[in-house]
Amino acid sequence: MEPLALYGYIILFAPLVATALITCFTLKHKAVSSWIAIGGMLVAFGANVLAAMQVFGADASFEPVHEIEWLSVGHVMIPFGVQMDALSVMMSLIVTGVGLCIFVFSTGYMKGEDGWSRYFACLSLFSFSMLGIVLSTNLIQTFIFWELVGVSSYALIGYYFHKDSAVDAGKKAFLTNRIGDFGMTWGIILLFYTLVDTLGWERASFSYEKLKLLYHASDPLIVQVMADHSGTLALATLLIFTGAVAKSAQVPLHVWLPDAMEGPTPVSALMHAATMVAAGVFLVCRLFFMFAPYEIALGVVAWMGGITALLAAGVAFVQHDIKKVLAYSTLSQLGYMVLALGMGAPAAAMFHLTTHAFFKALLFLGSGSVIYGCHHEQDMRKMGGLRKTMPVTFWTFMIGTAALAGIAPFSGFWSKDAILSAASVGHVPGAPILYGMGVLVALMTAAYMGRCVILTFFGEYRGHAKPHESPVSMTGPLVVLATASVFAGVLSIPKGISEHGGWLEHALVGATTAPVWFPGMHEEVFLPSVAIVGTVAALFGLFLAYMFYAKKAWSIDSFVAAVKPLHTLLEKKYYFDEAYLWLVANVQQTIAETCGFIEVHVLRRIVDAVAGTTRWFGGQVRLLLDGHLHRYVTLALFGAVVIIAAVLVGN
Amino acid sequence: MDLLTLLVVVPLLAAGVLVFVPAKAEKAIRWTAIGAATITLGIGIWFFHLALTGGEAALTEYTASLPRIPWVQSVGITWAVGIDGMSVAMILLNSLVLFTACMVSAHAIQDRVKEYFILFLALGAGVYGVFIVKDMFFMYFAFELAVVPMYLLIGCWGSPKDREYAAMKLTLFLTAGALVALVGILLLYFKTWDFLRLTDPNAMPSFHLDDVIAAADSGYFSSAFQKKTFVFLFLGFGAIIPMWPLHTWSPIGHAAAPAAGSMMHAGVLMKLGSYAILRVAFPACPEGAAYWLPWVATIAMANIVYGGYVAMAQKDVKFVIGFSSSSHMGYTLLGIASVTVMGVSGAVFLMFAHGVMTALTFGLIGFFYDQTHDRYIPNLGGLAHQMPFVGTCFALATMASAGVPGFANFASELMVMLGAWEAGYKVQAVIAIFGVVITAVYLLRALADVFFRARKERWDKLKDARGPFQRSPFILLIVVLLAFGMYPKPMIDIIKAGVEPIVRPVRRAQGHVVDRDTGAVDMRGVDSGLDGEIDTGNAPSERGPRQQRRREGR
Repeated sequence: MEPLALYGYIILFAPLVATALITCFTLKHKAVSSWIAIGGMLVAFGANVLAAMQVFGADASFEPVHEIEWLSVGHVMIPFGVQMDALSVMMSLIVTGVGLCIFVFSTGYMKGEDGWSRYFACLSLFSFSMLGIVLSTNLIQTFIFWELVGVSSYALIGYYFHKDSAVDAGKKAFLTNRIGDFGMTWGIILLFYTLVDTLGWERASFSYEKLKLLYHASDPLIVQVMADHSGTLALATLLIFTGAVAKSAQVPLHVWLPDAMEGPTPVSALMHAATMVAAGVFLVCRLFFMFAPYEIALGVVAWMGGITALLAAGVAFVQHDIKKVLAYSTLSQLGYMVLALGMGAPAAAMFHLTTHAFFKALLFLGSGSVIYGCHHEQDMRKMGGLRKTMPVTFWTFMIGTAALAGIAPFSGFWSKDAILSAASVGHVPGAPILYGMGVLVALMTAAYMGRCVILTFFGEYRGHAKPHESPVSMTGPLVVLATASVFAGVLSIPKGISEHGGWLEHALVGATTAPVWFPGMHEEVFLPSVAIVGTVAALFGLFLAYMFYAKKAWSIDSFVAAVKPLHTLLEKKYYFDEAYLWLVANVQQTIAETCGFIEVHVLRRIVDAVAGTTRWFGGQVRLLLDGHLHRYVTLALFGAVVIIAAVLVGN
Repeated sequence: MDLLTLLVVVPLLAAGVLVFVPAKAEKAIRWTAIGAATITLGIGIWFFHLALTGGEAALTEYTASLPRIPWVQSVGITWAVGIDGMSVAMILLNSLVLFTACMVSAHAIQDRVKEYFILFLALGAGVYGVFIVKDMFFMYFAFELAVVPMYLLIGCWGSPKDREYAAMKLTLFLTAGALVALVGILLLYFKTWDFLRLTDPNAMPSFHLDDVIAAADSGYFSSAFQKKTFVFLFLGFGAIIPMWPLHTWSPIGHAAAPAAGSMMHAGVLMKLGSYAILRVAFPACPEGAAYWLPWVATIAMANIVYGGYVAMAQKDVKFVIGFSSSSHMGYTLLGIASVTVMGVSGAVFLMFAHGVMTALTFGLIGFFYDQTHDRYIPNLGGLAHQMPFVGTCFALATMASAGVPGFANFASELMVMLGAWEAGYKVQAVIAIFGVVITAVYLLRALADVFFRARKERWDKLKDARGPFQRSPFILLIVVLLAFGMYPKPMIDIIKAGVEPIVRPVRRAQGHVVDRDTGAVDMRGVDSGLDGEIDTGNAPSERGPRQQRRREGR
């Protein structure tokens, strides 16, 4: 085994070992548990840095894939292994790096909670699952870890299992993701057997590298076959995308993510902001070669992203819970990433995923620090003026906000600009509209984040309990993440600005390339007009927030009254939850009750009726056998006559 | 005596010994039962190890070394046992479930301990018997040996409310099913006798499966005969699976039985039906199977979807799991109906995984039911506060049942779906995939409503599982599920080697070209006019374009 593959397995299994150790041995020893978990992450992170040095190093001669047979029957072989290319190493660095910060932060935030060891075991299990998705070599392996991420997310959302809301939120997350997984399984099987049917057993595969060979093939026969079946293949691709829709919380399968904020705040930061929800984006990047040839697939992806970005940004305005604001903001930013994918710019999506992972983890941990400092108060209406009592949290939160709002030179500016420039030159149907939506979302993002910051940190304190700054175990990770949020933009400053720019895009070329004949592949360039439009939109958004909430020059109440129907629609989150509840309560439950009724009142009745008839018949026969000898003789004679008659007739 | 026969003899012998142990020596009785179960577990593991190291060849060789011991020569009944990849998995399953069920019973059963364990061991011996014998008469015999103790276990130690109804219903259904199957067995028996007398006019009749299969392979069984016989065998054994709509005995049987009874019932008893179909009906009536199995694939949908929705409507936690079992058995049916090595191996692996998982689930339910005496879900709730260990185990069992990867159930259900699709049952495969969503709905609901949510004071007196004796059975089952789920290859290699010869005749009857080495079937060879054991699966570079041309030509 090459050292690179070995690093891969270490990255993957270190957190799992931590989970196993905690579960088996240290459930009762709090401190040891957290150190084991952090140790596991440290090991993974260390191996990851070594791997990154090799992958991104000058000497690029390495074998990225190492696989073993996981299951094989006949011609079907499902492998298991690690794929260590630029895309996966980049992504796993985010997972382990941000993860490490959040593990450390948790030791402060979770102080005094019951089930401390359980928390760290689940957190490590989640890291294992997430890294499994990232390092996976094939569709089935991805699906395996895809589901495991769902399970660990379920366990962590429902961490406070005595609370009904937490339990239900966990259930909702699991089931919504299951619906996505349903599509994904279907898509994977459809894809595989379509390839089997058209190209034969030997060429069909679950492995990304082999699939990519098919999509990139120059053999005219294969190209012809792939083109002939483009309808089915595009359908399979979109079905697989369903999984990404659920995991990355795109409309209409986004409903679980806001509820998932029931989990502890560090969990929200790690899973529901930085990593897990990015898995869908990552998957599309990984499978970009499958999306790229089909305009319809890209169109669906782009529109889904654009719509999600816009809808979620709207809801963020009417939330009072600081975590919910961030949750909807996450939805909206994920929409951006998906939009970029649809526009044929996977590198831009990965870039935004990276910067977003830093600044959104920062914002969530910042909100965690605020919540902790305010004695578990989450309502922004009961905060205010916290910049004086929580200076470190305040300044790091400001950096996160600037990055999220897309203010230059913070990292978010560069990645958002990459997405908007991709949208401005996109090829999918309705691209100009999507570009307009993207700019509008940039404005809205700045505005709702401005509102959030003003309500939380400025003005007068409106709460009751005395707020305090958080301990170093919490502010330390904030500072680390803030630094990353400032500088992560250098990963891919566009070529037009810096000579060494576009590093990320360049590094990811091998992993995310589209087939050579794909026309819509976006080459990342710096478009000054886009940068100006984006910046103006963001500044205008901040200005609006300032006028409404800080200076109070314009009254928010009269504005709300003016747009009452829209406000209600936003407060009700476009009635998605109501619609789903109606479906569950009426359709699903009716089917269940009907089946239950058939079971009890039809099938069971029939069976009981058969049994009853037998019993009744037995009872009647018993009456004949009443001990009267002459009746027995009569019956016997009668029987004999029947038999003799039968024999005679038979002959 | 060979090790296979010991699997039956050891529990029976232990039961025989227990007859003479005074009823008051409860400790001795428990340890005798556990000891016998441990010995058979050891044998089960030994065979698994043999299959692991030596492959199917070692099993075949082992089987060949065993004598046929005549029992009633005039009617052709012999004591003949044998083992292949499929039975290795089933034997391991039974040994695990029997062992853990004994451990669970050891502290759960306080009433008439002696009688309980005598019956319990007889039940175990009967199940082993079905999995090892090669003689159809003894298969029937062993099955009844398992059913009768089950009747008494439910009737005497079950939950008082519905145990008599449940015991009666279960026994009548199983016996009726076995009787219908017996008709099929007798049809095969007489036809085989005819076949044997073709070569030797004085030949004795035979219940031995090898003779039946030899007759079937020679083409002696007419197509009409096979179609007729398959119906008897399938309906009879199908009632045991339980196949919709013959399933009504099963959920209530689960519910009324004592914990260990449910473990054995859902864990292994339900697997006897599908095992017997594969063991007898497939090789003996391949054309019948090929004719009827498309219908079975559709009935499987009823199992999966209907069973799932009924489970969703249940308020009694044992009924939820009971209907969930019948839903899961739909996957087994679908895998069997696919007649691909992938699908059938998946079905067998699922029988194993589901058996272990459901034994775990019922063991845990029994553990808290013995204390709460209440299974009504709205009355329960928050039990994880009082029973963190049981709650954790139950959550894991739920995840396994919901088909979460990492547990053996996931790999097996995935194989069933792949196999069904490969066989062309695409609609069914999609419905089966959707079934996983339904499963998640009712299982998570049950898990949340029983173990999570606010603490209820009325349950504060409940005691969690403590100490290695109480905990080890649950841990063992979880470890098995995880081990075979994380790395299923070894188990599947064993199973598929056993499944290939079973699948091959049916594939051939369907008109497919069969790959001699792997048993994998090239669906696309159907219209090539080739027949027989010709491997066309290794020339994909030619087939792609050829296939293409043919499609265009149409």
